Amino acid sequence: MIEQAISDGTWLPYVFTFLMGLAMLIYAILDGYDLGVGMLVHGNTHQEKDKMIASIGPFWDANETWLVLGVGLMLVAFPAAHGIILTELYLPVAIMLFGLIFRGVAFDFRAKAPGQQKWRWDAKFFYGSLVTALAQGYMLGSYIIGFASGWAGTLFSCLIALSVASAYCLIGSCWLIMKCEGDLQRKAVVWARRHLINTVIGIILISAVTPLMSPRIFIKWFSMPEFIFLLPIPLLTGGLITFLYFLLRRMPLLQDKYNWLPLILTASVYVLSFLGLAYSFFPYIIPEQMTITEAAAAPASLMIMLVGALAVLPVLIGYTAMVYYIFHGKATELKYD
Amino acid sequence: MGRLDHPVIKMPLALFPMRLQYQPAKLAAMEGAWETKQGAPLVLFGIPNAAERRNDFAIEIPYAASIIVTHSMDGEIKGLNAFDVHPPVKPLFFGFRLMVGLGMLMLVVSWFGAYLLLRKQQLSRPYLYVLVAMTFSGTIATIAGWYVTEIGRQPWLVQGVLMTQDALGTVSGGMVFSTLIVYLGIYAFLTVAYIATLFYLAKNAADKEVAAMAPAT
Repeated sequence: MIEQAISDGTWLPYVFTFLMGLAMLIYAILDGYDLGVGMLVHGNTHQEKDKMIASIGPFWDANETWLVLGVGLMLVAFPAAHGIILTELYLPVAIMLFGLIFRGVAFDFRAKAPGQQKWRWDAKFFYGSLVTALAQGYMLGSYIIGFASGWAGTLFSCLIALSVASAYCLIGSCWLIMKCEGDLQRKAVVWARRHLINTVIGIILISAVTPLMSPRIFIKWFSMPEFIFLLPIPLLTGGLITFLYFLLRRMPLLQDKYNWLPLILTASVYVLSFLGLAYSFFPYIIPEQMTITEAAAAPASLMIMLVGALAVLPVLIGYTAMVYYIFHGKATELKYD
Repeated sequence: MGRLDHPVIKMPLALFPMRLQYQPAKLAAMEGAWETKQGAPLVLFGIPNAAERRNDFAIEIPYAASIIVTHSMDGEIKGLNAFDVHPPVKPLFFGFRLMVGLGMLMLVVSWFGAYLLLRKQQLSRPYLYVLVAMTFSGTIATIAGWYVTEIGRQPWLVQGVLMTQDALGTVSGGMVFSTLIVYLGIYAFLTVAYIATLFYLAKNAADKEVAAMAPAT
C-alpha cells in the first residue's frame, strides 16, 4: 500500500504544501524583522538610523528570497490556486511591489547619493517598508475571509494590515534589542512593549474571526476531543506572550544578558500562529473553495520540481546560516565604499 | 578588450540555428524576410512595410543570412508569409539591429582604445568623451535584445501551445493599466535617480584621484 502511494504521487501535493508553508513562515519571521526595522527608523536621529539600517544590512535581501521561493513554489506546484489568488490580490500585490522596489533601492541609494539626499532616501525606505508590511497584512486578511468582498471584509483586512505591520515592528524591535546597545537598545525595548499589545489584538482578532468563516473550521477547533488536543496552541501562545511582556518590562538586563530571548519568543509566537492558521485551512489552499489536491500540478511535474527544490533548499538554508554566523553580535557601521 | 569570441558577439550567433528550429517566425521577423528563400540575403538596413509585405529602401548582402543561420550558401529561411500568425516585424527588425549595432560599436570603440594604449600609452580626451557617451550602450543593447525576445514570441505566450490573449487573467484592463502607469512612473524616477547618482559617484571618484595626485604640501 505504501509502495503504491509512493509510486502514484498522491503524497507530492502535501510535500509541496509543507515546503511552501515553511517558506512563507520563514519569510514572515526573517523579512518581518527587517521590514519592522524599516518602519521603526522613522523619527530617529541620523546616527540611530545608520545603526538600525546597518543591523539589517547583511541580511535583508537574503530574507526576501523566501518570499520568492514561497510564491514560486505556489506557481509551479499549485498553478490553479496561484492564478486565482494572485488575481484576487492583484492590487495589494502591486502595491507591495511598489513598496519593495523603493525599499530595496533605498538601501543602496542612501549610502551612495549626495549627503543631503540621503535623508530623502531614508524617508522612501520608511514608506516602502510600511507600504510593504500593510499590503502583506491586507493580503493575509483577505485570504482568511476567502477573498469575500463588501465593507466588513475590507474593514477586517485593513485591521489585519495594521496588526501585521505591528507584529513586524515587534519582531523588528526584538532584533534591535539583540543587535544594538545603549540608548537605541532602550528605545527598542519601549517599541517592543508598544507593538506587543497591537500584535496581541491582531492575534485575538484572527483567532476569533477564522472559526466563524466556516462551520468546518469551527468544528475542527471546538469539537471534542480535538479541543483538548489543540489547547496547547493557544495556551502556549498566551504563556509565551505573558513571559515576553514581563521580560520586556525588565530589559535590558545586567551585562546585556538574554538579549536574544525576545526575538526567540516572538518568533515562537509567529510559529504557533502559523500552525493555528495552517490547521484551520488544511486541506484547502483557497479557503473553502479549492483543496490542495485540486490545485496541484501533475505528479510527474511535481516530481521533477521536488528534485530541484531538494537541491536548492539546503543551499538556501546553508548560506542563510552562514550569513547569520558571520555577522553575529552587535551591529557595526555599514559601508558600501 | 573586445574579442570576436566574447559572449556578447558569440551568443546571438549561436542562437540562430536554435531559433530556426523552435521559433522560425521570430527569426523571419528579425531578418525582415517576407518570402521563403534558399540563399536568403542579409538585410543590413531597410524599413519593413507590413502593408505591402516588403522592405522599403533595403540594403542587402546576398546569401549572408543563409550562411549565418544555416551555415550553408543555399540554406532555406522561411519567410513571414509562410506563417498564419507572426510577431510584428518593425520592433524585432529594428530592435535586433539596435542590439547588434551597439555590440559592434562597443567592439570598435574598445579596439580603438586598445590601439591608443598600445601606440600612445594614453587615452586622448575626445576618446574619453566617447567612452562617457557609451556609458549606457550595454544597458540599451540588453533591453533591445530583451524586447526582441519577448515581442518575438508573440502572439504566443508558450510557443505553439498557448496564445497570450488566452492566458489573460480576469483583472480588469483599467486596473492593469493604472498599475502599469505607476510602474512606469517609478521606473522613470529611479532611472533619473540612478543616472544622477552614477555621475555623482564618478565625479567624486575623479575629484579624489585629482586630489591624490596633487603634490603634498
